[in-house]
Amino acid sequence: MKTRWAALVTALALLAAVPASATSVLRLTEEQLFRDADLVVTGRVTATRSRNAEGAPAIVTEVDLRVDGRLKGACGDTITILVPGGQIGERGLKIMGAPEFETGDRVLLALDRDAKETLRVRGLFQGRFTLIDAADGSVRAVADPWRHAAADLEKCDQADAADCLGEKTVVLTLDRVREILGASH
Amino acid sequence: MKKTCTAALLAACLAFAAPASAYKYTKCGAFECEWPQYPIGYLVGENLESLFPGASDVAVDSLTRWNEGVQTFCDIRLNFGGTTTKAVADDDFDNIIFAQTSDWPYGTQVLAVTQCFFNSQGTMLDCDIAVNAQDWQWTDTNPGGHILSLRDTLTHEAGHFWGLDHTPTPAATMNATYSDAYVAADLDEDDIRGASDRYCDGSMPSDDGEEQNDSLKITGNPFEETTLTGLRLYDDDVWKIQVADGRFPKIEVLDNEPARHKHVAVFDLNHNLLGSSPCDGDCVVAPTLVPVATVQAFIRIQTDFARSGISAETYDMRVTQVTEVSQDELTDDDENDSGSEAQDNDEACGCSVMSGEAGGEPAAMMLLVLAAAVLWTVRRRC
Repeated sequence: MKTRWAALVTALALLAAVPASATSVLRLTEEQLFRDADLVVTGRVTATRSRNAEGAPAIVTEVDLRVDGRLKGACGDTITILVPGGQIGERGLKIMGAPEFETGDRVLLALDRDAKETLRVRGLFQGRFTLIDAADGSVRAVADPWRHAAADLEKCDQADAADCLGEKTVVLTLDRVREILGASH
Repeated sequence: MKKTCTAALLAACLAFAAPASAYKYTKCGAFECEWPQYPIGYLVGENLESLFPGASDVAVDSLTRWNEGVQTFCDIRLNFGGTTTKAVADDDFDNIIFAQTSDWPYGTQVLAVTQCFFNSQGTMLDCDIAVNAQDWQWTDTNPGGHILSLRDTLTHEAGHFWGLDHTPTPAATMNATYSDAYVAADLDEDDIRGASDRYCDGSMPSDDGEEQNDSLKITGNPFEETTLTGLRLYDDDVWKIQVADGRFPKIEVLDNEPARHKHVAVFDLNHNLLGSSPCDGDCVVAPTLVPVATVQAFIRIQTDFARSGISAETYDMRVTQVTEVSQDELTDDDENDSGSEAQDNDEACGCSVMSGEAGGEPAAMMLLVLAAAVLWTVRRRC
């Protein structure tokens, strides 16, 4: 019961700090997303493997990431992240809103370590960003709901990428992420 | 000159009023997720009701709202099949909405999750919606900010149940985040089109066969109106309505029974949706995107005889042909009309923005201001 109350208090504290929210996922501010993460890295997905799991979700996927940048926390050159859902032969499980990865994806990730030291993407889809090279030469991180539009960003020639892709698009520069993290140290 | 100006006006309206459908479908493996057969049944876990009294009704209402939207286009629905003691997400072919009270694996920030098993062809076999009851208490609605609203959350999750992914459209229920004025339980045009385009091929519904080829022609003076009373409704009615060239048909479905939920949609002859209005009581749809002389109006009235005690399905329909000039006046006159959503967007240029958010969204406001400026310039030259 104590744990439950603690979780509730934590959640209420989150609510008080966040003016906007998703319907099924509490929206984390950029500060909450990155500062409170155990690990913030950039890298490229090198492999994915789905396997059966006990309990729910019944299928999980292990994602191998070759790390090329550590913005917060320490880790090896290769890490493995566990995401819910996946596909094993004819049987697949889709967790709506869960981040997905394909080999070759360039990503920025905000990760949490659970009690078993397993790395998970923070806030379901919120902790996954697709990295792309913008027309101005900078590297931009496009939030997961807009990943389908990431290719369009490469054609954009504006300083403000959000203007280019459309309203409400969450696009960050890595400098912005460093700035957020730097302010907390 | 007048013809040129009219064309310019139309072009301007079209440019700013083009519907911005942005819905996306969830991928199940290499394919888009899709149900193999219809209707799709679902059960509500008894534990959801026991933890949050009234939750079953909220769940059914949330999913029914999608049914009503999609049924504007075709007769596909999610069917409530009763309650169950099961409270686990698995692939037993029972689609369950349940409360998960322990071992929530997704983190405190995640309020609810839709989990779908699928085969190698992307066919959905079993979808369950788990509500995080380990970390959260739920209420029907929360006027303070819609947080922890079971209705908002389940309406969003039901969109995933249909196979919809998150969309960037700010006003859509399937948007990943919401703004201050946003209520997820209110489906946006983008949501309805997303589900219906998937399952109904975006085509216009057909008449139910009882009153085929209903037609109404008004070609007299502007503001001339015709009211047909005591129309018998057999599930769905489709009317072909013609007004004089350059005028707009304003269609009102009059109903003294607020308990009857209705959906009125207006299409052009190419089956493009021009405007729609889900509503209770009287419905008003004024598809003033462009002057379309002939439209097709689709009318569906949801009547549950057992619950509402309504003994007859009849309605009145009033059609008024209005001019562009009169549209501003009509908008002012109808400010208190709860059903005239389409007109609320008309103040800038006399054209409806089907899926836009006129209020509260800076970019949308800028568009409207820009549209008004263009139109003012065009009119001045005229």
